[in-house]
Amino acid sequence: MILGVGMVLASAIFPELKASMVKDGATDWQTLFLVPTGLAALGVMLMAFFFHPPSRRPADAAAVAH
Amino acid sequence: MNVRSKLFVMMVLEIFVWGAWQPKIFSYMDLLGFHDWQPPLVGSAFGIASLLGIFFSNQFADRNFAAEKFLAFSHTVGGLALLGAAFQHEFWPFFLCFLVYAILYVPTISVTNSLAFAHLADPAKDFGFVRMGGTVGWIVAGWPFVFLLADKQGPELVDATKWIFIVAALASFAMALYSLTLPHTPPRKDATGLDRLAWMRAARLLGVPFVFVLFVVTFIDSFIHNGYFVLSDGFLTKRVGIGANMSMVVMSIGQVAEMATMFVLGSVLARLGWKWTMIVGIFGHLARFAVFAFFPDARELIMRSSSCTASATRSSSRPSTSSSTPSSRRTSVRARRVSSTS
Repeated sequence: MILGVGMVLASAIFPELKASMVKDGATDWQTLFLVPTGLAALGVMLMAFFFHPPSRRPADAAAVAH
Repeated sequence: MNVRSKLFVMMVLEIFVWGAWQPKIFSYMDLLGFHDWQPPLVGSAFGIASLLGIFFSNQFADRNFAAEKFLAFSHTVGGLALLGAAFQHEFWPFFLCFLVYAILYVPTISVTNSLAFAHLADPAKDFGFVRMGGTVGWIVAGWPFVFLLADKQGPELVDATKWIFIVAALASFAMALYSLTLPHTPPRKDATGLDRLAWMRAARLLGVPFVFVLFVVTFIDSFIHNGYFVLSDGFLTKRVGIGANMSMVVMSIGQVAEMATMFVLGSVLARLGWKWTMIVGIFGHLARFAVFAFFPDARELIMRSSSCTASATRSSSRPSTSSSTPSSRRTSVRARRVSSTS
């Protein structure tokens, strides 16, 4: 994942974003870095509210049930 | 040298090859005048090779070649391709050389992991130490450029920056020779045929809600993690004002922090659990990019933020580098399968 799709998309999208986010002839770094900042915030929220792994492994849960 | 130390050095060399060029490749392509679709295509070469490697290394290389010989061959030819890339200033020859290197190098990452697991007496306990060699390799890879890029500007900087590939090539040749001294690891024959379907079985795990959420979040994390490497060298040198010869050293502070994180990761996992440990890691990305966005003139803060973030993220979201307890390793194997399906 990290090496594959993430790298392909990051290599394609971030240079485009950098080229498009220009202020007074120079890269608008603040706006540019708000993109990964926002995505990281989204990741934190998804994990916090929607990531609910089981508290026990299936084999352990079955052993407890018996 | 005992087996553990040999494998540690193997990882140092393996990841040194990667760390020598990754932080600066996008800046180098800017210097060469590559534009529009060209840098993304070069950046994608490594990613495309990674996707191919999911099938090639696990489904073919592991089953048909002795691991140490596969490494020796791949690093020899890969090193030649890196040398080729160093001396190309036109896009297509550069891209083709880099693509050849990527296709050969990427499978070696998983083959070195497999080789380590095959020869460690207690992989759950010892793999973390061995894998730390990779982190050391990445850190050390930045140091030659303190001297090679010092006081270089304009055309001199273009000419000097090609050394990111030459240094990587030299490390690749060293790794090729060193591979022949590694413990013999014969090919693993697929006796039952079930392994061919491992990627499909892993993909079915995405039907489990919490696994799907982990998949999506890991994808987001990998996207912004790679974005860090696309953007940071240019940001540090052009906006923050760190010298071209020091930017890789600054970026390697994250790897130093990663080593420290590995020491405490086990106890953090025991205290917070996987979920909150990963949330802390991802929050590190948020904090770092927020510092870059809002405090670009605070050099010391930027250097500190480079350290406190990706280390936690990588250690928690790349379980192969993390805690050594058997249960976490089993979880790691399953999480790694899911991660690999994308």
